[in-house]
Amino acid sequence: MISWELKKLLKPTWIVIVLGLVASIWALMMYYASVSGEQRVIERFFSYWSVLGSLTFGGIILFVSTKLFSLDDEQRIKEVILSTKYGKRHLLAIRFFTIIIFTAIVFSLLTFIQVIGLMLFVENEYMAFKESYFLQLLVVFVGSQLFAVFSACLCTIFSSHTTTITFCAFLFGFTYIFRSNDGAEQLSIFLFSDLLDKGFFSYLMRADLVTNISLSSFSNWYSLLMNMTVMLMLTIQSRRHEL
Amino acid sequence: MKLKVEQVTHQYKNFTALNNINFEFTPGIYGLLGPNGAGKSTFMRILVDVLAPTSGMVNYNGRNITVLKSQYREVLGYLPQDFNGYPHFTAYQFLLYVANLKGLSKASAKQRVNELLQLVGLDDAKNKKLKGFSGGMKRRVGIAQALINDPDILILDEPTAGLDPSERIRLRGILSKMAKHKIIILSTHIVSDIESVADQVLLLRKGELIEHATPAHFLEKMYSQVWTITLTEQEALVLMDTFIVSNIHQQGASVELRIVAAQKPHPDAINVTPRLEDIYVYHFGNPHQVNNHSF
Repeated sequence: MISWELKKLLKPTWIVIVLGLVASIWALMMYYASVSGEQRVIERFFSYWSVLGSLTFGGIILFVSTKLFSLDDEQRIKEVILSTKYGKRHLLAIRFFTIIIFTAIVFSLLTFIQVIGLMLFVENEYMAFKESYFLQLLVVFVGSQLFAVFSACLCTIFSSHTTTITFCAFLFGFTYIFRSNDGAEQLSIFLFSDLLDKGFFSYLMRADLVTNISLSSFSNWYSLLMNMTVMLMLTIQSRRHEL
Repeated sequence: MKLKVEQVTHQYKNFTALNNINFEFTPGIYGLLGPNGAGKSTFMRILVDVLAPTSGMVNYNGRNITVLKSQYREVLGYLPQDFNGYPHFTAYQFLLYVANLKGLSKASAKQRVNELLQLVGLDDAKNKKLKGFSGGMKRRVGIAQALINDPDILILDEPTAGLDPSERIRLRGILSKMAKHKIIILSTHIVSDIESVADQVLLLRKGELIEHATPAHFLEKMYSQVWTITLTEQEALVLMDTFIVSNIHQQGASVELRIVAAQKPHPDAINVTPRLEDIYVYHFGNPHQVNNHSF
């Protein structure tokens, strides 16, 4: 059943074009960095997720994986699916599992592009693969999975891909607009600007937490946000008689 | 096998879509008749457990379908009024996907999908993507997906919409063959489809089940109450104001009217054999009479 859902996600050919484009831009960025020496290349290597990687990843999650949760409505097939043996609770669980797998696949591809960029321009590339790099990857992975699940929940609630994209892109974009990471010790979940800057998933997907340990207090916020979203989705689905 | 509807009522905010419906379905073909907004689709959605009734319940073999959940859906085949399918899937892929959701094994799904594609006449188009399909072809895919698990209960909402006459005849044949051991419920605006296959006809109006009987019984009740008469346009207009007209046929300068009336509507009127369409117009009226009194 997962393979069928994955098939639906992998249908759009433009993902390949987007990934190709990201690889080209990244290669170009690394090339210009290499002019200033290897140290500059390594610095650039660590900035991959800051804009290019995280924006691409967020876009793919929003435009591709989230669509899985509104496709039945859009194609007027929801009632057919709901009337099948596994069309309710079972399928919903399968779809969440599918987007987790899909997000992991996209994460691997984007990481592969990042590493290839380094290998092209640095001879002793192993220098870059220190502990902080793997920590960075872990944060990006966790952030992307949370964002994928969060947007999938919202798409199920709204039953509309367009509404979900608009809403999630707004939240996702805050980190790129609001910059309040100065004086990290003073960060508080109760501060509106901090919440907008770091309260949603793009902050994790940019891997900024690695350099800002004090933000670990925000994990409580993330678990609260995720629990509330999942609970809301389950309640609404139950009311709709779709569980 | 029994599907029992007990005091089912459904409300959308202030609008009552279904009001206290009671009925027991046993194997056979049931035709749902009623004008738009009568509650046919709501009734069908409740029967397939896609919609929970505001009050009342539906029992399958004595057990509430909302309790049975997937056990009930396992024996169900459903074609909703609106059906499209995934545009990037071929007909074959789509049917395999539905077979998967219905719990068929891979091998039996492949065999069943091929059988059904042949049955609905889409064998040649099985590898074409659904986005290139016409309305009628999509409808046939919809019928095939409903039959894929060989359901005990088959519910089809407007199955003949978009089908050409030969496809409609083919569908009637399919349903008639299956009817012996299955409950088949279908709604359609094409009354002749129901007339030729249904064992029982249920008339729904404004969310209420106003009458149910066999087509023969309905026709018997209307016997000697259906008339035809050929008149001038002016004379016809006068009769249209007074009587229920089930058909108007322009014949040059004159007009042939088909009238449903207990008494002879005109001295020249000739008594004819009733059709189910006359019963439909008798119960639900003819919008042509209300809105357009001109030829």
